[in-house]
Amino acid sequence: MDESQLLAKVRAGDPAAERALYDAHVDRVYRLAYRMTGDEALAQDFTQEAFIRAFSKLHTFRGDSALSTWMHTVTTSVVLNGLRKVKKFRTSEIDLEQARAVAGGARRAEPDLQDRLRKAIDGLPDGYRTVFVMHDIEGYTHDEIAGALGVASGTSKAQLSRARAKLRIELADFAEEVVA
Amino acid sequence: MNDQNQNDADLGETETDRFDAGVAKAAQQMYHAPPETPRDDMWTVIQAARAADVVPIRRFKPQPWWAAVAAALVIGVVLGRGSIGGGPDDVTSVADGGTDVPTVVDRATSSGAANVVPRSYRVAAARHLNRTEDFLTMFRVDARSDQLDTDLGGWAKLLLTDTRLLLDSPAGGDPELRMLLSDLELVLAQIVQLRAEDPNEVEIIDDGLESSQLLFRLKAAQATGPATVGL
Repeated sequence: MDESQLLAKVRAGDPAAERALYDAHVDRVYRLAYRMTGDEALAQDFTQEAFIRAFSKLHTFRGDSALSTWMHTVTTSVVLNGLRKVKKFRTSEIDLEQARAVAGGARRAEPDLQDRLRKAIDGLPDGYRTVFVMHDIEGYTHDEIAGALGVASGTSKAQLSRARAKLRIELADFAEEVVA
Repeated sequence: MNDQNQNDADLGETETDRFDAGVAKAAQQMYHAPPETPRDDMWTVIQAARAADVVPIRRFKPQPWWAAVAAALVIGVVLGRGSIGGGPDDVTSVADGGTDVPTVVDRATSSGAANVVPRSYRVAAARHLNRTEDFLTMFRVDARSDQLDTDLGGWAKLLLTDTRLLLDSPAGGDPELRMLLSDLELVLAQIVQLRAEDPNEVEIIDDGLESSQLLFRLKAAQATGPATVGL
């Protein structure tokens, strides 16, 4: 079934088509929500809200882009908007200076790469972290990120570059492990 | 040279790329690694929410028929004013069981001409409840996703006017309906006065909707009669 057929069926209220549309996108949306929150319940809430919203807005789809692109832009936008409202989930967020202090010689006290990696990523400014998670972890393209965040593609690239630079500093003493 | 450049220089361009790739790979494995997607659980919730609350936003877009709906409501209420206590052609008795929207039957009165509610009023009220439910559903969904429509105030104003028309009509004596309309009036007035994208006010209205169970009461009011009110 091609996209136009699927869309026609969804608009006609065909439950199987709705489920097919959901199945085609839910993994990617849920994965992003989970990566950003680190919390199963929140990730589920955001994913559900995203699809409720997407289905209710389906009539606005004009066919200017592929349905899958539109669907993913809408759902991702809802997830990211929701995240802005609940920053409190980021309880482990740490100040960048604090992270830098940790990086400067505390390796013996904190030898776990996973823990340091989490702190370093959590310590990134929101915009940097979002782009880093979407691009380097979940494999979104800069165009997809730009569409979901409502920014220019160049902005996404610039933020990713800065995010990577900060992570290089934070994780410098893990260079051998990371590169290996 | 700042820390970043110093660090890049220390690593060299190729090593920098390898380092970035290594960090990305480590993050894919270690940073909030997602469990298996709970597809069916989430789908159940999505379907339930859509069945209960969410209706297509197209139903509220300011189309020309909005004016026709508003006009029909006004005519209904005016006819209600003119025919309350009038002849049987335009009214349905409480006792005849023929009401399609029993929630708007005047239960405050007990007999005779005062015991009937004009059909035109019942139809107008039922349509209004249906529209208002759609609108408040849209408001709640938008409020929770931080994407309020800029035309919200205008639509709320139309609905507020109609709510007040129904409240003022002598045909609208049913105490339950009056209480529902009064609560609607309050919420709609809050939305009309909502300052652009004030998250606190939006949250207060959303909480008010939740605590007063307004959407549930709107659904219940319509569910007690056949669904003959859709336009």
